[in-house]
Amino acid sequence: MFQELLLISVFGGLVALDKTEAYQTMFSEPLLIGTVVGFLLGDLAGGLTIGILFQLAYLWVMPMGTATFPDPTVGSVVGACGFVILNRLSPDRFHLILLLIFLFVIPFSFFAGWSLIKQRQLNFRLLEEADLYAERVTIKGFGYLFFLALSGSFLRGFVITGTGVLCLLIVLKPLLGLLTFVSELYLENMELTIWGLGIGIMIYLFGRKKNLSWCIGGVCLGIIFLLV
Amino acid sequence: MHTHMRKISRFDLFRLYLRSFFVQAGWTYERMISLGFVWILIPLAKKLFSSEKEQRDFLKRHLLSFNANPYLASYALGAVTKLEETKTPPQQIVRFKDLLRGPLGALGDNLIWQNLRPALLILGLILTFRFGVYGALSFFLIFNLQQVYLRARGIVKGYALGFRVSSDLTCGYLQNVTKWSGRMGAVLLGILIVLSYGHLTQLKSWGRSIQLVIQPPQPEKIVLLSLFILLSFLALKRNKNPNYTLLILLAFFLVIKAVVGQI
Repeated sequence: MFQELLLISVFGGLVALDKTEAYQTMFSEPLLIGTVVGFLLGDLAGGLTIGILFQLAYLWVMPMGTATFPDPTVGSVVGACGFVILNRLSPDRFHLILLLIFLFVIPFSFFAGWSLIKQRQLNFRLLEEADLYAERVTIKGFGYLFFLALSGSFLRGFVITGTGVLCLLIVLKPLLGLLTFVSELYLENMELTIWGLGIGIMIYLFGRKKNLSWCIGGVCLGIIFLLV
Repeated sequence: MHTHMRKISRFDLFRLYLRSFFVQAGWTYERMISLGFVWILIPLAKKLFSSEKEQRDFLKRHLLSFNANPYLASYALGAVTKLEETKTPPQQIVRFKDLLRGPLGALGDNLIWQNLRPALLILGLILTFRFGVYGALSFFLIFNLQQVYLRARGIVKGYALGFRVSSDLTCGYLQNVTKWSGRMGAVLLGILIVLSYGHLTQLKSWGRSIQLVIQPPQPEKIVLLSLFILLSFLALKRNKNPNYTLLILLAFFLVIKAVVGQI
């Protein structure tokens, strides 16, 4: 368990780096996060499933300019990890676990987003140092500041992921035991809400008038795929 | 036109390119990507300027506020490298960077965040249903082929064009990628809508596997999904936060289930 937590926390740190500070390869998208977490915890199908659902729910998050946003990347790592672990413990409570995970991850993502804002405010200290280094022409100092900036971002992801997973398990594990009276039948098809939101976002992004003919073409292609 | 000895080698440009992947390091609300921008240019400071005063001025002028989309920032890096190499007056370089901020931000956001990324994500989702983990990996691969090329193109074009780098920003390539990403997104959206309705009954089997098996469609689910899509779309149109929208949809779903019974 400790090894798994450490592994997931390191992954959380790398994901935080990818989203905001370095390389931006998009492995911080929930679809890939779910895949990697599933792989690390030995349940690829479960990881992929939750990754798809998080991706649909967070397709709208675009870190444009200085906009503040919830941080669904670290949130997705925590959520995917929690989902895989809880699903392993109670495989028959798929829908209840899904509901609880989403109810946990949505506010948690706002907390992670707040921590990102704080980290960016702290970066100002580095900038003040950079001004001093520039004045003294200490070129090597910039490498040190760069290292500090990346380390700060990695640490933020590492710590928040680790504590997030622990909090999630501490809160949701007993809750899962308490909510035995909630029938799976009652929650069945709950994913339709996430699915509906995801498609609603896509229509909002691509459903412009000028794209209408392309969209109709896509519908025709989809029907062909379905029939074939 | 300045006449000059070429001091920047291809290897220097390659180093610049590799460092450009870290342009957002140390991002601040006050001066945005300036710290990362300076760090990328550090090898130039050593190579182009010998006196301490010149180096100091170089570092100071690039620590001024600057922002750009991270994928297109390489255009600014390439162009600034050229201008510094040709000893362009510092005020002109600062002014040039200020002028470049808007286009690099707007074009990049439109290209990457609003078109390419969501379109490729829809492709990734569709492929994931069909090919499992390979679908997710294909999104990663295709996106990165594009971003690696875009960053390299930015450095090369920026260095070649200098002040005239904006001509490449308004040229066919970036416009075409934006336009075709939008179209691809629309086609994929059409496919995904059909597949969603067609495979509606498989959603419940996700807990075990993501394999899709065609089952007869269930009208209640079709109605419910259509309702959720419509509500989400209307909420987005009214600028409502999608997170709150999802919470409201979940509550709405639970109420419907309690009232109507099994769906």
